[in-house]
Amino acid sequence: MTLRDLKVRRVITKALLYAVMIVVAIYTVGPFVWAISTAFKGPGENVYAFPPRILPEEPTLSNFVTAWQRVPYFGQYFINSLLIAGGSILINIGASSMAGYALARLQFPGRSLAFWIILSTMMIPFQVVMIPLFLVVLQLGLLNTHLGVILPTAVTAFSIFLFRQAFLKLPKELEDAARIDGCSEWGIYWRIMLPLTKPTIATMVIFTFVSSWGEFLWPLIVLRSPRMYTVAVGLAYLQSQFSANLRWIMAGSVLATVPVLIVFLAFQRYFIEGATAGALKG
Amino acid sequence: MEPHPQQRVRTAPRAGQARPARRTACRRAAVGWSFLAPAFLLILLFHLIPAAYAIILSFTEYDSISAPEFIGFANFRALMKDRLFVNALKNTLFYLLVTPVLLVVSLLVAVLVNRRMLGVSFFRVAYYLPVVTPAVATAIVWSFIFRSPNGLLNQFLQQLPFVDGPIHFLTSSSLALPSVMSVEMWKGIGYYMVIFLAGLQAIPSELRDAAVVDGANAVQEFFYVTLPQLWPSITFVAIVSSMAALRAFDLPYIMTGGGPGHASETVVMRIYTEAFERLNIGYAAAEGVILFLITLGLSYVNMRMLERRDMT
Repeated sequence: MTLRDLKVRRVITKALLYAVMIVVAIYTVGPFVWAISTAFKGPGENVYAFPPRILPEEPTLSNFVTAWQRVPYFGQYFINSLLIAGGSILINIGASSMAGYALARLQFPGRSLAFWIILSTMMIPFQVVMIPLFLVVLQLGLLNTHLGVILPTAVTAFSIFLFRQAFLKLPKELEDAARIDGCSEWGIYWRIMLPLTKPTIATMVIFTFVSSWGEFLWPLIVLRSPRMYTVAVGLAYLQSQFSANLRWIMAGSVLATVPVLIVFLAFQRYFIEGATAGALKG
Repeated sequence: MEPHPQQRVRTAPRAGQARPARRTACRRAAVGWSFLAPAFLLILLFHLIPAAYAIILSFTEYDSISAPEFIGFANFRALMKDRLFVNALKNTLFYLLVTPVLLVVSLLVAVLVNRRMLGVSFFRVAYYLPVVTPAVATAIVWSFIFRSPNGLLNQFLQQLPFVDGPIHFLTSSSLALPSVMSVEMWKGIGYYMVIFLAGLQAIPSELRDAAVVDGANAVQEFFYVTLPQLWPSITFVAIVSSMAALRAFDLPYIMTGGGPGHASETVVMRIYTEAFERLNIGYAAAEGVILFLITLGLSYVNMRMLERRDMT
């Protein structure tokens, strides 16, 4: 084989690789492109035409406006979802980081027992406990409240575990120095150690945001009045009401997806880190 | 699962401190547990107690109005004869086929993008996009793609010479479940790809170099070097994706509503209907307990596979 043959072979391999990557990308991104383009299409356009036109002939925002107006409280759904995501993030970061800190850096009786109890809850599927959970939420008077959606799903064994791993990595000298300087236990956690776990905090914030935003089954069970619905539950309602109007439903779906897409595209790096942090525990 | 804490950090009293040991121990316990308390209480109240409660409820007849009545194994006996539950159980077990397909596809995609090429990180992001998209939006868009006769996919298939007539992806009892499962796969590829990418990048390059020096070709290198090294990632993906498959609800609920008939109804959909629409709470709890046992069994099998591989 001559040098030129090798070069040609390399170019062909590369072209083939790109071709495969592009095909896979069309498969994963195509539905987004189609949904967005349909959402912008005017009433005179055939949305079922084939091949589908990517650029709308008569681009319009009217589908978004109609979806927003026709669905009662559509704007309210966004506020509700943001409130629930915000509450989940605060509780998750606060409680999980404190627990992770205790499990990683403090010595106290019952610690390993507590750790194993927490880990064992990873094996319990949420769908199995949702019935008693509903009864607990009912007993606490949290039915049809946002707190009722937030509290049961906010803290998970997984987030405690991630924080524990992050705190385990920090050098002990820091802690010792702070203790010699007379720092309180709380001060060591809050002022010295917690700020050093910023990457984990960032990862947890965006993961909690995305999962809370997409959550469907539990809000569907807890939230009874349309005013309280989250975007996901409201979108399902939109689809059941206007199943004939493809443009409106696509507009609603696009609106519901935009917040997570923004967060994802802005913080991609952390998604990769967060996903692998889970795998490395294996 | 994680081995025990590798690094134990001690907060032993330093020399020169004359405090009685007992008081220090008490203080340590108080500090430790006060840090642990908020999360631990939430876990206790919303995970552990409900889990125990679910098991108790499964032995009762309960309609949420009158007090639960203990009926022994009657729910479980009834479930074995409940055609709808058995059907849902079959569907959920069939749904598990998503796992091997996802394993292979996402591993191939990870290998594809695990190289230094211009624009490769763009493709990684593109493949991850479905993962973050809300399941409800995903389900809605795909149900329009699958729609018959004029959905996007049918329009495309109609151009092909060997396809006659629209295919009823979501409205025929044989295709509804596989169609939903294909969307589950679409949504999962990116996540598992990232896990495999991390696994691939953790393989020491000396191993591959050695294989190349020994004259292994790309395929041999993949099967004899890469794959064995990836075993932990494979097990992780198998566990996580099979647990996700057993919990399937959002996609079938929106895309088919379990239909046509009950052809694509999963166990979690059954639990939802029994508990929250028909208020057969004890009965639904028993369905949940069966699902839990299946989850445990499957995780056990997966873990054993990991252990066996470690020894060889």
